[in-house]
Amino acid sequence: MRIHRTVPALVLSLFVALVSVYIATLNASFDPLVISIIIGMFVGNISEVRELTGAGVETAIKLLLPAGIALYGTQLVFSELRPGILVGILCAAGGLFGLTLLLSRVFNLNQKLSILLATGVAVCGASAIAVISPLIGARKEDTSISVISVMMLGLTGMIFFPMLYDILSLSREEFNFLAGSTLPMLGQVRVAAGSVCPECVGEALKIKLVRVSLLVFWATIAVFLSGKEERRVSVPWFVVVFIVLALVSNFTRLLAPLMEYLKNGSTFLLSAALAAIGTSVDFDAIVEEGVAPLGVILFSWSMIILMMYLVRNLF
Amino acid sequence: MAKTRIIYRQILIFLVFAALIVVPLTFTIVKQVNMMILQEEREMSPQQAEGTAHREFSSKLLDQIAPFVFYILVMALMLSIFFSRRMLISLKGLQRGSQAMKDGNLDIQLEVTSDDELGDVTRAFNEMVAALNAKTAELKQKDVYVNAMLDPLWVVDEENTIQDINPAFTRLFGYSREQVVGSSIYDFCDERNAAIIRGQMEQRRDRGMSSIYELSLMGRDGSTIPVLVSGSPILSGDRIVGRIGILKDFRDQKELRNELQHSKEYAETVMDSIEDQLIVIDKDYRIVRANRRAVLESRGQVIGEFCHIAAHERGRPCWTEGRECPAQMVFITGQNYRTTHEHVGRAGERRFHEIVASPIKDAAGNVLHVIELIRDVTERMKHEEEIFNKNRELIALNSVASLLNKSLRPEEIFSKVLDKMIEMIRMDGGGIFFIDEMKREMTCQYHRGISDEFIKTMGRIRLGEDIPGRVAVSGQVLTTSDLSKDHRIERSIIKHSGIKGYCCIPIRGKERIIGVFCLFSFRVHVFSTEEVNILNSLGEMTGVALENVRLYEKMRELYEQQRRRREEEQSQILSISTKLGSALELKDVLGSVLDVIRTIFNADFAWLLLSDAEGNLVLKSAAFPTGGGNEVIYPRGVSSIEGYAVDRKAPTVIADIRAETKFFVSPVLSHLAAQSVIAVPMHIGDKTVGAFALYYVGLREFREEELHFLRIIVNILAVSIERADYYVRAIVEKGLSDTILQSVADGIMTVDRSSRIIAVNKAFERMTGMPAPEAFGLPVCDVFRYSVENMDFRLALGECMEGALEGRRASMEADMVSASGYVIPVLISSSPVLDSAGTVTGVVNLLRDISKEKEMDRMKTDLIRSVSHEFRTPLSAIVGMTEMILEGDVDDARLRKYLHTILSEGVRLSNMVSDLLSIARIESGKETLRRDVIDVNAFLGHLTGSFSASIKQKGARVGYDVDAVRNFVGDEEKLTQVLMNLMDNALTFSDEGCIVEITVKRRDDILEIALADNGWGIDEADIPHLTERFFRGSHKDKVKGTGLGLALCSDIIRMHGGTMRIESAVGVGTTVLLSLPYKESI
Repeated sequence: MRIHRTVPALVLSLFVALVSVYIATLNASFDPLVISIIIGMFVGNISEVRELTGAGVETAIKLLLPAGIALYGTQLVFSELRPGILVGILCAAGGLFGLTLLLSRVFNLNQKLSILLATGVAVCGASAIAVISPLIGARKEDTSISVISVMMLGLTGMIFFPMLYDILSLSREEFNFLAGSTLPMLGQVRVAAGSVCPECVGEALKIKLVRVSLLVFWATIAVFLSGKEERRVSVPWFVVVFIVLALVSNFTRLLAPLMEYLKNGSTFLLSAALAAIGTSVDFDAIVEEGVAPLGVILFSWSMIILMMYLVRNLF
Repeated sequence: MAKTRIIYRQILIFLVFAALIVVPLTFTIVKQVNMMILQEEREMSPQQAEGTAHREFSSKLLDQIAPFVFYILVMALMLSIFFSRRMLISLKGLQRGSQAMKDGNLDIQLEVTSDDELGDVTRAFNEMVAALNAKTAELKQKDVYVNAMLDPLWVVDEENTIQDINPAFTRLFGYSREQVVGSSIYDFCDERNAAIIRGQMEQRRDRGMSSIYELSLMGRDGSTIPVLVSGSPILSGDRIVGRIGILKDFRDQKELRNELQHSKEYAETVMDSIEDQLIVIDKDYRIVRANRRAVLESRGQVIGEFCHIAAHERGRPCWTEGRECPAQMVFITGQNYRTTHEHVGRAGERRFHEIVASPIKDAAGNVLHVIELIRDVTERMKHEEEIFNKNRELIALNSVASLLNKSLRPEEIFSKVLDKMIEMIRMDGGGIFFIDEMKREMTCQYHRGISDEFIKTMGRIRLGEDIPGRVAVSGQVLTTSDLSKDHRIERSIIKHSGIKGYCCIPIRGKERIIGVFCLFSFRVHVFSTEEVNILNSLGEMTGVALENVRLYEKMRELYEQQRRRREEEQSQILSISTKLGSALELKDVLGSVLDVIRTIFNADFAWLLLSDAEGNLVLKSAAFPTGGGNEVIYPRGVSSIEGYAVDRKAPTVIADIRAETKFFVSPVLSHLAAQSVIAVPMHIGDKTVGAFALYYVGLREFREEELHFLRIIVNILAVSIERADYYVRAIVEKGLSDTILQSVADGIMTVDRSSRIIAVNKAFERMTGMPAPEAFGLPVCDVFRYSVENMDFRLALGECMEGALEGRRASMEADMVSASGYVIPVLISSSPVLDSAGTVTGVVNLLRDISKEKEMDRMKTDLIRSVSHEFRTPLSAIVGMTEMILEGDVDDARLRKYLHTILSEGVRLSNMVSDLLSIARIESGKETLRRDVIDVNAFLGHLTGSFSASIKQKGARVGYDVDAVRNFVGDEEKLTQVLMNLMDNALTFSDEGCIVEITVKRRDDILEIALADNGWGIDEADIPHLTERFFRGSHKDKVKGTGLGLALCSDIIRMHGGTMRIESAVGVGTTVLLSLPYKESI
């Protein structure tokens, strides 16, 4: 019963992930994780598909998500951690994280959703949300809405940052920092930076990678914040693998030959997992949440950017 | 086609719309850019165009546009989500609401989230649900009513097919709803009942109204159940669409009806079984119902007849004969009515009927009928009448008896008994004849109903004659119903007086017949046996009563005599005791008292002899003078009648003393020649007081009561004598103790247990200023309230008294402010006053003025202080100088000087000691004055002679003036000491060449010796202290002395009963004036 449900769900997720990954290859701004969750949502809400997959989706998520998270460790790059940038990034990300949590409370969003949003905005968008959600036991609806909202935010930044570069007459370094520290997704950073100058891409990506590398830190805070009811100390196996892989890939050359595969594998598996999440989520629930999450993160994000601008002008 | 939802469609529409704009736009832009590039390329040279990158440009452009497209599409998604949200929430709410409604939950209220059409729809839904809810509740309520009905109910349609029933139907008939619904109502009844239903149906249908009828329907178990159907049409507009029938279970009512029938029959049976007549009367006074007895009694048709005709056999109603008609009374009052009517029976006999009439009322309380119970009570009435008569007789008898018991006057007894007799047996008159035994006659003394003239005519009846005379002799009651026709009585004065009924009853005393009662009637009167018996017993009762009255009067007379004698004796005792009590000196009254006693007992002589300590009988008093009292009449050992009585301790009566040889009669009485003597000893307790004796010249016998009376009198005498004796002694003792009490210098007050003063002495009066009469009865502490400073004193007094009241002696010292305002130190000593049982009955408080003791104490202390001080100075000089001499480091001249000083200090000490000893001796009172005759000239000459050395040394001039006084009596040695002291002072405290004058004068009985000098004089302030011991005036630094001289002088002069006065002025001189009582010779 379980297996014959699981197999279609697994197949569907993998298929959607495949399609998403393909679409993502079309343009840098397309994030496979986001695309797969959106496709998953649309597909999953077709009643026939839901009948087909049913409870199997849960199994699929349980299989795919930890695997994706474990492999995601390879994507962390510690080499770029330099004290000067680190402080700035920590300030920006910390500001985003804190402000988002604060505003979520003002807008009366539930706690797990607000943590997901904060992490998504502060770290690395969909992938961070995907990593955090099982750790804090978030609802699938919250995961979906936060993924979509964070992506929407990223897209907005991606479109408007080049304009800001011109209007505010930012230097390239400043722009790199802005893009790298405030845009949630890697692709968006690349597009935004690329539209300003091709040289900027590398710089901005470095900053972005530093942000990503701080995922472990934020994840710890997120778990700490959410875990008020159940203070379980046990660490899931995939987190251990995640950390081990992160350490191994950064400090050894053991995985160098496999690095590319592992990175793509993690993206693929996370996409599949999010596709499965999207499939299982009730669209109505997302609609009922409305655009409040988006509003919250947009507001906090704008505030941080404004603050950055003010700080830059003052010094 | 997949099942899609409105949201997806909307989102898809948004997305498609976005795509429709974005995709063509992108392509158009790319195409236009491409065209522009181609255009430019065309215008450019082919070389330039060769190898251009424009073909890569389009892909680059697409790369640039793609994010925007993606952005727009995602934006479109977000917007669609935003716009769909409200709609979705509303729709979901409605969906949930509908689902809940479907599940039967009507308590839902959806939230109206928007004000648009969806909001309206939600509101409409809410209203719809509310309306539905109300309706459902109403229907449920109605269902509850119908189901709760105890009576079955059916609903039928036009075709008489049952549409519905309620649970009560099932309960009554046993059919379930399913079995009944759809079947015809005729299936549940037989033909007869079916016809009834049809008939009712038609009637009802014609009239369109409800109707009620009775039916019997078949139950499921085949039983027939009677029901009362109440049917109503169900109208829809004007049309009858069906009927509703309520079926009431009529089984109980049927049973009730049967029971009613039984009750009716039972009631009739009961009515018929009643022995009395029972009739029910309507408002026309006609009988509507009667029991069997009533029908039998009237022997005809009863029902419909008037009650008085049928029940009482009379042609007229009762009320025409002046009696209440019971039926009428009940109709008027509405209350039960009970009466007894007398009717005349068919045979003309009197019959009594007791009628009990009761109302029969309707529910409103109106009287519809009257039910009468008629009982024949003729027999009972006769018995009652008999009892009444008996009762009347008994009452009369009783009243006579009580009269006889109560009254002690014969007239009242006879007249009232006669009246009662006449009343009791209803006679017209009567009389009482009393027998005169001496004359053997009878006279009428009381009469009723006969004139006085007739009684006079009758005059006296001889015993044995006429009727009363015969009865008085025979003692038998005589009665006759008709005197005129009685053959037994031929000769009588009343035979033809018109009297018919007559009776004559003897009045019997204890042993004889006292008189006769005669009663008569002018009618024939048959005397029944009871009447005769009653009369007879009345006669006896009256006789006994009369004898009792006579006995009582005799007793009373005797009692009166006794009482008079007692009164006389008491008055005599009273007069004696009054006399004895009136004077304390018995001697004054004893004579007259004895005389009174002598008179009372008619004696010729009476005397009272008292026993003295030696046992002699001494004459105390006699009824007439015998010459002096306290004379020994019978010495001890002489046998006298009085002595004999005293020894016997009993009165002794001697009928003839002359015949008795053993008694010696005092010669004092020899002239009396007494014959009878009575001697009564006088004792108080065991103590013999003496004897009292009465002497009679003739013979005299003594009755016991006389003896008794005499003993009482003699006892009184003894007590009086003893009392007088005690009283005299008590007075003496009281006077003595009073004198002691009053003469005590300390204040004494005696208080009772409640601390109120009962006695005080003079010293107390002096101290408090309060006279004894005022102090008596005052609470002790109030006595000292005159000064607020007595608070402490009062507290101390209270404390002492408290101690004394507890039975112990207590004493305290306290300062008391006396009435004159001085503060006196007082020693309070309180002692309890104990009675013989040892109970504290009061407290004696002794307030002792201890100011003198205090002063003495002070003086002693002063003296010791002064003596020690005065002795120390010379002693220290002596000791100091002696030490210096012993050290040996002194030359001869100084040695001599020291030794002189030691000598003079020693002499001074010696003088001081001898002065002190003299003073002490004088003050202790041990020193006695010698009485010498002093020759003044020699005395003064000797004085000046002894001072000649000093006078010469001082160059003083001493003179004395003796004014015609040669001698006087005094202690020469002591006076010499005085004058030498004074002389020494005069010479010591004067400058050289001083003048000293001694003057001796006599003024009446006073001898004045003045010694004047013109020396230094004394400070005025020092003068009062000069006679104090060790006082040294302002000259003490110049001259050495003891300070005791003048004190000694003062004491010696005071010893002589004289005074010493000192007058002095500084720089002028001093005069000492001695005044002594003058006596020239011893």
